[in-house]
Amino acid sequence: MPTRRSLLFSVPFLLAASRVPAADEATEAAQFVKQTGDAIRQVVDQPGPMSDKRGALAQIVDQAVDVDGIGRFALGRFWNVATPAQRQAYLSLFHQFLVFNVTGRLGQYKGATFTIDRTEPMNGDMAVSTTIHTPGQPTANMQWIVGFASGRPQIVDLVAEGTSMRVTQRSDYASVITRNGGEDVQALIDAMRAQLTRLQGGSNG
Amino acid sequence: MRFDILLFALALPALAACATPPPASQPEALAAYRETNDPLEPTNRVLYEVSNDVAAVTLTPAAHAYRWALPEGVRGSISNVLSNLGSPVRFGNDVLQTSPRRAGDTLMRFLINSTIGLGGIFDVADGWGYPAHPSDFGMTLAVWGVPPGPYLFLPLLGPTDPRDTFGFAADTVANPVEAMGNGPGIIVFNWLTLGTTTISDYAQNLPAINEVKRTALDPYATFRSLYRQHRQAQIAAAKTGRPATIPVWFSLPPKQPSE
Repeated sequence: MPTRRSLLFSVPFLLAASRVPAADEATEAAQFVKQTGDAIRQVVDQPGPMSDKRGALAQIVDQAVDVDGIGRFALGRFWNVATPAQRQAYLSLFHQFLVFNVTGRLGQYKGATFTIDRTEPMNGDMAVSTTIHTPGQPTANMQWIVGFASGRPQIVDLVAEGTSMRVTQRSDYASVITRNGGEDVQALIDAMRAQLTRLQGGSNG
Repeated sequence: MRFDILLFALALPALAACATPPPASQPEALAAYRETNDPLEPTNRVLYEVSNDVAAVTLTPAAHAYRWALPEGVRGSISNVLSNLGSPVRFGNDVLQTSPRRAGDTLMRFLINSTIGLGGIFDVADGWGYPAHPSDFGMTLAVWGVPPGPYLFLPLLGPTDPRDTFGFAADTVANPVEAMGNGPGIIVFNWLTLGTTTISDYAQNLPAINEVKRTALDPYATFRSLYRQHRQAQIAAAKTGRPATIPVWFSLPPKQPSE
């Protein structure tokens, strides 16, 4: 039977449990990266062409990656000038692009293993460093940036050799919009649509 | 074919056009333009296209052949030997950047890999706690506080800026092999090293380059961003002295230092 004193002592612990402290976030982020990486490996290492695995990988991406957050970041200042319909069209295309790029890139990681090196805070998120060993290729270092804004861990960026995926993507999109008159997001949406058609045609052929 | 080259040479001055900055009434666009810092963009884009066309019939097939003919292990060894040859210049730059730890790393790497690593074929030093790091005169200038200047895309050098172009020239001149004279042996050796380095580097980056060209909407802008971020990360690492370079044997038991 709990005494009054033991109840009193448990209050601070209950309060602490309502918000995950930073040290736990680091552990949680590292665990999350391990789980996600293992799930990806399981799909990639299955026999058969990559195009058959796109569905399974899309499911992992949807669950583990903050796709809308990255999409908003990648549009940068143009998010504010886009109409609601344009935002919706853009995010939908961005999602398809991400899945397509991820599937395309992961094909070369067949048989790969990875180790988790260290986890450290980075601009409010957690940066989990990993080393990827792929048979017949040089070892690669990759940082997974894990955010907790939605209440659960989600991947918000990937950093390889100091280059951030979402920052690079933003430069690409900004250049397309700027070169097509300056402020029209429609130019980007059209270009994305054309590129997606081309990529899908190439993968089937 | 010759006529084409002549025409191109004549057209070059006309191509040195500048991009038009957005008007002051669009402060966000103007800030983005300044951040991109690519005032020579029209010229750079032409040079990018031409370099791509030239690489498609020269470097790309050479790199494909190189990848086809040699397994990853051999390619890795060649890359190690070339990297080892660049150690003296790297050491000089570490010293100029006043990074004693990184200079120590480079020196130990050179001593270990040149002897036990059989002339640099095997990177033994990496496993002994002396990991490789990039170091060149462009980085030295950056550590000294020299700004990069506008973005440039140059034939042969690719994505660069005035600071890195000058750095590349300084590193080439500072190579100790250059100081050994102009004998035919030295000249052949220099050209062989330059040629192998170019093909080896390009072959190593070929999958990544192809991936950008395949998926980016504007590969030129994507390469520009990748180059800038990559250099900034290298320079930041040179300034902070990371990664930690304590050799593995230093922290071995029984007396493990507390973290």
